Amino acid sequence: MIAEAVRRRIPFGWTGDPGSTPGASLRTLVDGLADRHLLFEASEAQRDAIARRAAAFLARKPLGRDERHDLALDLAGPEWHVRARAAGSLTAREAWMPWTVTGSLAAEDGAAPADLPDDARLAAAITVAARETLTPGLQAAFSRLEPAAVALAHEKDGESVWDAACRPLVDIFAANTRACGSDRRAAALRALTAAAHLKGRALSAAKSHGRENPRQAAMPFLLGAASGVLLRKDQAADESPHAAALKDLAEMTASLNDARAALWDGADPEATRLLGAAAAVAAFGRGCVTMPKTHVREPLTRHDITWPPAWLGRLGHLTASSAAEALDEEASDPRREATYRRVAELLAERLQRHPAPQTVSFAEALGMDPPEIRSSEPRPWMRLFRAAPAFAKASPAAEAMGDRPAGKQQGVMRRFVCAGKRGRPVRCHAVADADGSLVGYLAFDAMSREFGGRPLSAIYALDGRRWGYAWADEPWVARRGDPGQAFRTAPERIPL
Amino acid sequence: MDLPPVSVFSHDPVRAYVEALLAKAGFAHAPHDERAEAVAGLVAEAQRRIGFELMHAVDPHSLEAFRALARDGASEDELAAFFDVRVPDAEARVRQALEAFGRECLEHAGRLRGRLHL
Repeated sequence: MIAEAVRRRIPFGWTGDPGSTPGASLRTLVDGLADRHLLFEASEAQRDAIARRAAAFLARKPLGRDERHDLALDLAGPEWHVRARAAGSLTAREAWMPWTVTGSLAAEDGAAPADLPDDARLAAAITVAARETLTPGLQAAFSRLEPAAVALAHEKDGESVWDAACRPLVDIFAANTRACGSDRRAAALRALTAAAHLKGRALSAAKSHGRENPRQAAMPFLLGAASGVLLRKDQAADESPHAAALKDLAEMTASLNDARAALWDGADPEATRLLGAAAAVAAFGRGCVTMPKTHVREPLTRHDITWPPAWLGRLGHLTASSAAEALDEEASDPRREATYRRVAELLAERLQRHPAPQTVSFAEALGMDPPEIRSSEPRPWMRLFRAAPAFAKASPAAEAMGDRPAGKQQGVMRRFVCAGKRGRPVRCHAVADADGSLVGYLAFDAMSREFGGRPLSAIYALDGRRWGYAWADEPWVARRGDPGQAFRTAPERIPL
Repeated sequence: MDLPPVSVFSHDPVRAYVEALLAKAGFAHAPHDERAEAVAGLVAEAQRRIGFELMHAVDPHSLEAFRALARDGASEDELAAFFDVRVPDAEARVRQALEAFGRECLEHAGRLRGRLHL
């Protein structure tokens, strides 16, 4: 059943039966579609459910155009937690509307939900409600998602559990899309989009597992489909999105200036530009008055700007943003040579242009390998910590896993295993102050993901707060801060 | 969204400002060719915007004198010296025009961001 077929059979100008409630009117309409037009077969109970569900859909507030654009940006982002937050926001506000799932209602992307005519909204609501109610196995498939989401978040092979639970839903979604006339490729793409967003939502919901409304378990799938529609808008355009947006921006500024020119009796564009360029040169003492030319800049490399090699050792481990700040300070230091200041300023400017300067190191931003970590003599302002000597015993969970307590291997192994959330083992290290007194514990989450292609371990303090991170492929160095990676678990308790 | 500062240490402050604007608007990683083309166009429009601002400050006779200078092929320094003499608050006006231009750009770019991930 497709929405267009339902729409054609809705009486022209139908606004409900006079004197009856919306639910009752919809029930009459559903009866007509089933009995007179034979669009579907449904029992009395199923017809009631379809009418109730469609009425609930129709009662929801449609999304505005600007809101949809913002959500499109979030739902299309590379970070799963951003997508999940957007999907969660839609769910929480109940702003999602079934007819945004045009992937399962029409072959082509439809208009904005708020722009749909009334009969199309009605047809879409009935179609989705009928599919939800009448598709065999759909409810069962949805109910399997909840435990799969827990497995996905907390088990090693959770991905495969999730994929198995999600596959039937994706199949149904793809079949609906094909039934509406989409080709195999389009249907597969939309189904993949839906699956990706469903997974993101499930990961996000892992923390609040058990408190969620069971009804919402079904929503992410539909939300994923909705996002697919948002993503596919204007996809037919041949030029890249960046090119189109930049071109649009340039055209907008030109049209505003043309409007100003009209106020000056059609001032000559080149004469006005020259006036402005000369004024800028007069104001800043720099610049040029010739017509700007297209100047393609190569990506920043080591050889693009000649800078002292010692900077790599000094700044290599800083983030690009911190290095840019440091270079900025040096560039404004009047004691430095002019050339040095100029190079520092140029490099700082380039580093600041990196799209995510807080998440990459100075060296990585320049496409270079970070230098090796060098240890130096303790300085007066440094605080020294050291690994604590052997401690009492490992947790029962660690014992059960066969991990030998650290106390039996003095001087050899100082790590132990604690029970993390939901019994997950978490490797811990004890940290002592310079005088040997214990100051706390740090716990590694060995299942943390990679960041920038490097394996990463998260470090947690005793109270469960994330303390920092450490690269897993180098000697352990605990770093404060966040390399841009979201972590999934933290130890609930560490037995002392 | 905050406007980027005008870097007076750049070789070309207007171009640097436009590039900073584009980075701020989320186009930092646009393909180089497309970005370079947009920068050139936007620099020209920014200069036009400054020109319109300065037209308020210069009387018609002076404006005609400037056009005559330009027609005669005056050098960059000569053109700039024109403002030193006739528009004492040129820098403030230029900055004001650049800020207005930046605000318009960022406002419009915010609306365009949705088209980046189709």
